[in-house]
Amino acid sequence: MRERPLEIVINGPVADVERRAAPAPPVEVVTGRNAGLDVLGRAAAGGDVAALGHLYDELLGPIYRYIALRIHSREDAEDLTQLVFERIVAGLPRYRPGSSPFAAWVFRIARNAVIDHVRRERPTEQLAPDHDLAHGDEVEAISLRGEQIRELRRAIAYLTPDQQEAIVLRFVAGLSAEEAARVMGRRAGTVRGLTFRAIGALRRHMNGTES
Amino acid sequence: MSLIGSPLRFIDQVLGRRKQSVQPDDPIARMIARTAGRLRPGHEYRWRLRGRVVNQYVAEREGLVKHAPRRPEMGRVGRAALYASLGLAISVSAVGAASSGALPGDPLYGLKRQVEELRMEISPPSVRPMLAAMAVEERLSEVELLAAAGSWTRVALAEHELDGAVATMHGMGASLPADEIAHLARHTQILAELLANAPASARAGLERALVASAGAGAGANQGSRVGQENQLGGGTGATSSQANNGKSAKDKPSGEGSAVTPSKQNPATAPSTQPTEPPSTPAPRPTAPPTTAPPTPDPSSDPGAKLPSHAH
Repeated sequence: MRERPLEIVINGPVADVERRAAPAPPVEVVTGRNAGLDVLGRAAAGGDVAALGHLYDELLGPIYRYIALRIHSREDAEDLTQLVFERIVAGLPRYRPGSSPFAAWVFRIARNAVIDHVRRERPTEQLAPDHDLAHGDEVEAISLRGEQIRELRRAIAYLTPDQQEAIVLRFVAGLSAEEAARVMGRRAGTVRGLTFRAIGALRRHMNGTES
Repeated sequence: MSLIGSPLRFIDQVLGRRKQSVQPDDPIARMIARTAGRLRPGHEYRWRLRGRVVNQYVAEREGLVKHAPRRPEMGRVGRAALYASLGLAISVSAVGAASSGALPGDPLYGLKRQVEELRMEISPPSVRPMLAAMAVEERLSEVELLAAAGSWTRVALAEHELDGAVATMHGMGASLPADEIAHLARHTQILAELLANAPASARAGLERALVASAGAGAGANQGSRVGQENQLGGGTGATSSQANNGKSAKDKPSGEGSAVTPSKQNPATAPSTQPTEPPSTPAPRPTAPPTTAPPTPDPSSDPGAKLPSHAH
């Protein structure tokens, strides 16, 4: 059974793109929910602008969340998100569908961007309560949700770097263990182990017990 | 790797993997996903970045980039030709930066408008009302910048562009999110302030822009005609009506009255979202004061004065 905590369901847009897409070379059959992203990625690489738009709509949220959980400044998170999309667009002509699942390819770009940013920048100050929330939220909700996000960041900070990466790729970006393994350059079994141990560590931390 | 160790290691690996699997309904995993799900980009950022991404994609495919991707199938001759053309090629960022700040009357303004029109043509129909609203905002900003610099002749050009943008937006007949209506209301306020300080010769043009701004917001806010009723009453009336409309719309729960439902809120829907309300009949264009000729330039203004940069 595949361990996919988040679903990315693509209905009509994928059907439209498939109808329009030119015959593509044989590609690795990717089962699961990210198969739709593979179809859109292949179409976008082939020049389908509408497919690019759909990819943006589907990937903006997961990419932004992946980055924003690692980068504490909203401005930096937005800048990095933009940078990632620029690199995705620039790299589309080089994307080969059979080489890697599209989601893994995208998050490889995002991961490298975050790593480069962290190496360049100093750790940022605590973010503002309304940093992460959409328009129109009430002040109390802003404070509560901002605190929850900060609490999550503090908890994740107790994990090893690899565990953090595995957790964020699996449960924030919504990748499968196989896709996360592609991003991290590790085996899927290793990623599952990292995830398992990370969950255990988080549970112990939240229960207030020492490992 | 010994012959004995491999099967044992394989068995350990299989057993280990089963032991180390995280169940999909694990409360910690669900908490992480739920909490992280509250991290989301702003609405305006989302739409502006979308336009930028699409623009870059089109420019890359049209060859308007400084660094073309290396293609294994290009060959030596092809690559030599590509490198020879790099000196003449313009980068995406240069085009975007140069043309995005162009104002009516600037040499690159035509390119800026072409990029906007191309973006509109290639975008899915569901996002076109928002693009049209962004175009109206951009035209309003152009009017404001030119008026602030005292380039009243060019204000007339900008006002003409604004008329077209408002007509396009009304023609789509879709409702806009509250924050977009609030943006239009802010422009109405700015125009009202500029109108108060404008020379008599330029008032007609600015009044038309103010009418168009108020009409854009009124038409976007279904059922509201207050902006049109105040269209000729100076800035105050239109300003307050638009501000109130924007504020009341903003108080609504998120998603209500919004034409765009983020796909992540309802994963079952297609990414190209549908309006939550049936499209309204476009509001009739407000009647502008008669203007038979562009306003004569204010002799005190310097058409050659450097305009403030207008960057996103």
